[in-house]
Formats: sequence, structure tokens, C-alpha cells
Amino acid sequence: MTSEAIQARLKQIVKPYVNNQQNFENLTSESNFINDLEINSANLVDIVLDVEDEFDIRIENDDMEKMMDVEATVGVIQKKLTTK
Amino acid sequence: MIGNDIVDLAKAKQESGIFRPRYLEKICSTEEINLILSAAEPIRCFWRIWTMKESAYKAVQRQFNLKPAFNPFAFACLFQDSEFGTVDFRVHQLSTKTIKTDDYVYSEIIDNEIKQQFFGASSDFLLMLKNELNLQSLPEFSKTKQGLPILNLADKTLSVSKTHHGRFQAFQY
Repeated sequence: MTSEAIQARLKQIVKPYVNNQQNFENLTSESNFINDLEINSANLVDIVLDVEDEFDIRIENDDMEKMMDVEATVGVIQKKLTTK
Repeated sequence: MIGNDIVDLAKAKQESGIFRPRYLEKICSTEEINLILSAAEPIRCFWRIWTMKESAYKAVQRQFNLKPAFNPFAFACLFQDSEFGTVDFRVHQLSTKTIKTDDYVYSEIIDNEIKQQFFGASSDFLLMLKNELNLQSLPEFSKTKQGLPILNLADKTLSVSKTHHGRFQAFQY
């Protein structure tokens, strides 16, 4: 799956947790979940679990640690999909 | 050290499915999960652990200039009583104090330095500081390079830990 396709699906996953709609509409690979999208940190786990369900993958702590922005998260998903 | 975190229980109930499969395992050790499942009020017990971890994360990030990371597992919580506890992170041990009400759970880092708290809106907090410190104008929030909040006062900066969730907002400084 291309990183663009993953990013498009990720955008739908984070949507319900976003508190800054303007930054969400202008989402880029550099968008940070907490600083830009103003997602509450308590919802980062929900996003990780939604990602696991959506892509049918399992994410370990080492990878979860990096999932603070769109680019890193897309990278983790892509890596998991290729080793599936 | 400063670090604090608040959870609005009504909002958390709507947004976070803490009993959905694998949720607790992503955040808590086996010992912490046992604490939660054997607690009289598992949900508030979970949010106590969460806010302890978040407070400790904010404190060590500021103190040791750490890069942001989402690693709740690296923070190990122990309860001393219903209010006080400790969080272990690497070789460091931090002490915490937690307030639990029907509406929210709030934790903050405590150490030898006396810190102050303010519960309320940001504008009220800034106005209170302006009066307390006899400032000419309202202080303004800005962020450190790591994105941590500081206040610019006339001749110095003041480190402030702030937390906002749902209906509740709190500051430690």
C-alpha cells in the first residue's frame, strides 16, 4: 500500500479525536497529533488500537512510542504491512 | 519538577474505551492491571494510573530535555495510599499526589520545592498571576523548543505545567 493511501485511511481514523479542525483539514505528513491536531494524549491509545483493527496488524511498544505524528505512524504501518 | 494531568471522567467515558481489548495492555504493566481489576472503582483507578504516568512524563521531559515519545509503559506506578504514590522512570523515582472526585481525577508531581496549583480557565489563571505578581500586563503563554508551556513575565520566564480535559483545566507552577 502506498504511503498516500495509508495516510488517507489514517486521516479517517484520527478524525473523531481531533480538536483542531483547521489543522485537520490541512493535514500533512508532518502534522503532530498532540501539538497540531490537539488530540488528547488519552486518545493516542484509541488511535493505536483503531490502526491495529483497520490494518489488521499488531503494534508493540517500541513502535507505539514513535506514533506522535502522521509520518512516523504511516512508517510504522507500512513496516508492519510489509512484514505481515 | 512540575507535571500535572487531569481527566474529565464524563468526557473520558464518552471517548476512551478502557475496557476494549488490548487497551490496558498498551499502557499498563501486569501489576498495574491487577491493581485496576481488583480496585473498588476500576475506572477511577485506571485514570489515577494514567494521570500519574502523564504527570511524570511531563516532568521528566521538561527536566531532562527528552524528545516527545508515547511510551506510557516506561512509567511504572505504585500506590502508597489512596492519595500518594510513586512513578519509576528509568533510574528516577517521582512522587505524586492524586485527587479523585466524582467528576475528575487529577495528579501532580510533588517534590521538596513548594509548587502552587490553580484550577480554572486560562484567562482566570493569567489574571490571577498578573494581580499576584503585580504585572503591568497579562502574561502570555509560549512554548519551549520541546513544546512545553512557559509564561513570559516582564523580566523572566515561569515554567508552568498545564492540563485541560473536557470541563476541567489546571495549572501547576
